[in-house]
Amino acid sequence: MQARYWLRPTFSVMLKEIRIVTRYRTWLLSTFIWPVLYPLTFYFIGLGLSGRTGQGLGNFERLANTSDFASFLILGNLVWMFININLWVGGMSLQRERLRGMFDTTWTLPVNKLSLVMGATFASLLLNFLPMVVSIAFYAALGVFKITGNIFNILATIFLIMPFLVGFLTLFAALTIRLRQANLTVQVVRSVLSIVCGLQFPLAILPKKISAISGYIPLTHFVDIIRGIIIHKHPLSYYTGSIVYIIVSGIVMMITGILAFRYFINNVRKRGLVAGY
Amino acid sequence: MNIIEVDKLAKYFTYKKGKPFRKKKVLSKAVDGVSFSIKQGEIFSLLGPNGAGKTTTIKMLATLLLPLSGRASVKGFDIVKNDHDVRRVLTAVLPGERTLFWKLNVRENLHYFGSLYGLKRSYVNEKYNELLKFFGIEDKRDTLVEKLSTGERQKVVLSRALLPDPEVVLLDEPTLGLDPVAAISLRQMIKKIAGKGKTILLTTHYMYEADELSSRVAIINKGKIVCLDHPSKLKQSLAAKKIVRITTNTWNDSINGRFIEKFNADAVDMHRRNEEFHVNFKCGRSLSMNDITDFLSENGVKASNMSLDEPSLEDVFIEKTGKSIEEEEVGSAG
Ligand SMILES: Nc1ncnc2c1ncn2[C@@H]1O[C@H](COP(=O)(O)OP(=O)(O)OP(=O)(O)O)[C@@H](O)[C@H]1O
Ligand SMILES: [Mg+2]
Repeated sequence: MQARYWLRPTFSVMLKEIRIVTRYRTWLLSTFIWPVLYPLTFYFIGLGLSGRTGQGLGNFERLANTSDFASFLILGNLVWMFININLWVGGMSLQRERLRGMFDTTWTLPVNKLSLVMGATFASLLLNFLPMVVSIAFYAALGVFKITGNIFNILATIFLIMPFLVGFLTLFAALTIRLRQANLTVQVVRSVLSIVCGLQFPLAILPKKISAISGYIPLTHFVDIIRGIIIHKHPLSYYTGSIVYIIVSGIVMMITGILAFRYFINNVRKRGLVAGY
Repeated sequence: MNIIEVDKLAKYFTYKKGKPFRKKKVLSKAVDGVSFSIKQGEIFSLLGPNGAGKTTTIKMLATLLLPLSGRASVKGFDIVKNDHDVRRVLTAVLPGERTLFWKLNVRENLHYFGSLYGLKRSYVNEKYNELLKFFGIEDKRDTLVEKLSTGERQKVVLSRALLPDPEVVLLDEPTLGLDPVAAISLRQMIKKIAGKGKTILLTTHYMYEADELSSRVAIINKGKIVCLDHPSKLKQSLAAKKIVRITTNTWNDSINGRFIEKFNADAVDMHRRNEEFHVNFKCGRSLSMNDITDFLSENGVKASNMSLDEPSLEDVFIEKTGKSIEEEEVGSAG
């Protein structure tokens, strides 16, 4: 397909999403208030369990391999928030078009349909960047969270997880064409990820049967690497196995997402579900 | 030259009906083998009641739906095999108010769609100014769509559809929800668009709209085309006739029989609404209003309303389907 049917459209979709999102006032809330408030609960729970002087920290240190519970929890929560916003903005992009009543019309245009999802996903990744910065700056200013570690390594890790994330959101968007209960699906997906990947607690406390699955999810490796870089100052080479796994599973996920997307488009054209709510 | 060719196109849907857990699958023949062709530059109407299959036909042509059987092509491109080419030749305006982004202004909307049509930004810049002028809404350029009136919004939607200078425009109930004045102005616009050499396929359930706008009309009912011709030709099939309409609360079979016998009339349609009978007859042209009033007083019938008309497209519809268009709608709503 010629570039003019996907390249600039992807950019236009991204721009459109950013425009619309930022025209609602709630955007300020999700950008400046939520990223500050959300991890706070977890921080206080941690503080409650460890005690002000850290006398209860022994167990946590043994399980999480660090006594810096604040950094551990805040990083996990940042990843969780990142996934969460991406699911809403990127994964739900087609569902939102449907609710806006734009689905049918957009479908009659010569644009490549995948650009609709990609554009929205890129928009959400961009929109997501600011809350992360706000959150990190806030907790750094409080002195709770020490920004150390190699910034380049952090960015490289984020870059490496992208194929997986984009593929996953594409798959999710494809599913929302068929599943009408997209909101419920988001709730389930983010809860399951939060538990299985140990975003808000040390993985070691999970029952064996569940933690056996954890290792298969690239997100578990991702959060592990990020924590390692910042808390333990590990170099990237320390995580070669995990990095290879993230890259390979990212490619597989991309292909799966695109194939699923194609399949659902054709399926929908047969059943006439494009317009439905 | 025919720019649209539709040959025995069909689409059935199955849906579930009944109580939860005891639902049965029901087959609905939304479009059941329709054939027609449209010449370049023509305005062609699909006229029919709710659920007739108009939108389903439009959606198949717009490549939103795959047909079950039959074939259709737009400018020689098959709607199934060459769907991408079809989308480049035609644009579709589907019903509903929300076919624009309400949180974007008019200019942003048109630029967005221009990009999705694969158009260059410089081209869109020139074209949308021309279109907004054409529709007389150039002062709304920077207004958010949510702040426009329904009529203005519909003009933006049409601007959007004309942006790529398409050869074919599909309009599904373009005047739905507009007040009479806005609807008249929109119909003017549609004629002007056709004047630019565009081929237009529109659906409507307003007789007068099809009559006023189109060079040919296909009356569609229950997924099938019941007749297809120039509106005046369709009416001509009844031209030797006049239509008598009587509204009364005293009518019965024997009066009916006498009326038919006396005037050599054909009963077209009779139905009861709000305790009153509405009777329509097809009669010879020589019949006068006096003949009818005489007949009514002889038989002791008090008519609350009575008329003797030239046949309208509505009468053609009744003649072909055996029902009035509103009746169909009451019937299919349940
Ligand atoms: N996606 C679908 N699933 C099941 N049935 C459908 C679907 N779309 C349409 N139908 C059915 O197909 C029939 C034709 O519908 P269609 O929308 O084409 O009618 P229409 O002529 O456009 O009517 P209206 O004037 O109300 O817009 C209807 O009985 C409708 O219920
Ligand atoms: Mg319709």
